[in-house]
Amino acid sequence: MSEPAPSAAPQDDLVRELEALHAASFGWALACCRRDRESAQEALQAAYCKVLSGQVRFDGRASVKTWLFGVIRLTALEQRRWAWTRWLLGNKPALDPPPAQRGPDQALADREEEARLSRALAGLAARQREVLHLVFYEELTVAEAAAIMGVSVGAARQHYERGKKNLGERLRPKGVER
Amino acid sequence: MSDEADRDLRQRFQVLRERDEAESPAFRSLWRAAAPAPSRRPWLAGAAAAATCAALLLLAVLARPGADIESPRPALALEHAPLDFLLKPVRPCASLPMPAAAGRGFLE
Repeated sequence: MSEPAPSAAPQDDLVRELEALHAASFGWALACCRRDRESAQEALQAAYCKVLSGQVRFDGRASVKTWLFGVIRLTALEQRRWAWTRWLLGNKPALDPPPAQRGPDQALADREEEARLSRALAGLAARQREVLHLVFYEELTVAEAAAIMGVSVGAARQHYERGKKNLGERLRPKGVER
Repeated sequence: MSDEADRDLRQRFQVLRERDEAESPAFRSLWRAAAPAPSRRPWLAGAAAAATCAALLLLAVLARPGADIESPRPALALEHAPLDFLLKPVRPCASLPMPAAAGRGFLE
């Protein structure tokens, strides 16, 4: 009696789950990369590469989403550090231009609103941006966000409150009506 | 922050999310790109392994205790340098008379 390949089925299941989470993963990668599409795509690809190569393994302790978002967050962080290193060494201008300098399409009002939100988010501290994204964009609880961010629930709640306050202040001068 | 402000933020984020989802790259393309590319020269690893084995074998043979390795030194030793004669010991000349000197009588 032949034995089935031990790792084929779980791997396929994981790939299916990753595919189902792909859009959300890309949104999360955008949040981790200050809404820069190119960096987000690179970070997500690098995270997938880690999964494929077995550098990171899903151990079932948390949900696949929590695990994957944690991997993406760390990968984006590594890429950002690496970009800084390259920039410090003077190899090439690896750092993204500040998002505030990237002009949105002025012709489209909805695009302008999105760009304004993106700029406001990019101006927040990383932790605040992350927790706001996870709560408002992914509709997770603060506790779930804390698990992904690798901080305590109390700390996540603090980042959440400060983030909301700062984001409101950044959006208000641009004429946002309450 | 009020519930109304929360709702406003949630709405803004949902608009952003819809836009991101519409513009997200295809999963398959990213997944394929993340897969490690197969080696372009599969024979290279085999060749490197064979070369390493050959080098180790050669080292083992050469480093064997008692290995009879011909040295160039004997051939060099047979050669005579042009000024070798200067190094030959000078033979004492027995036929030379002792010089006359005071006190010689005591010695004889």
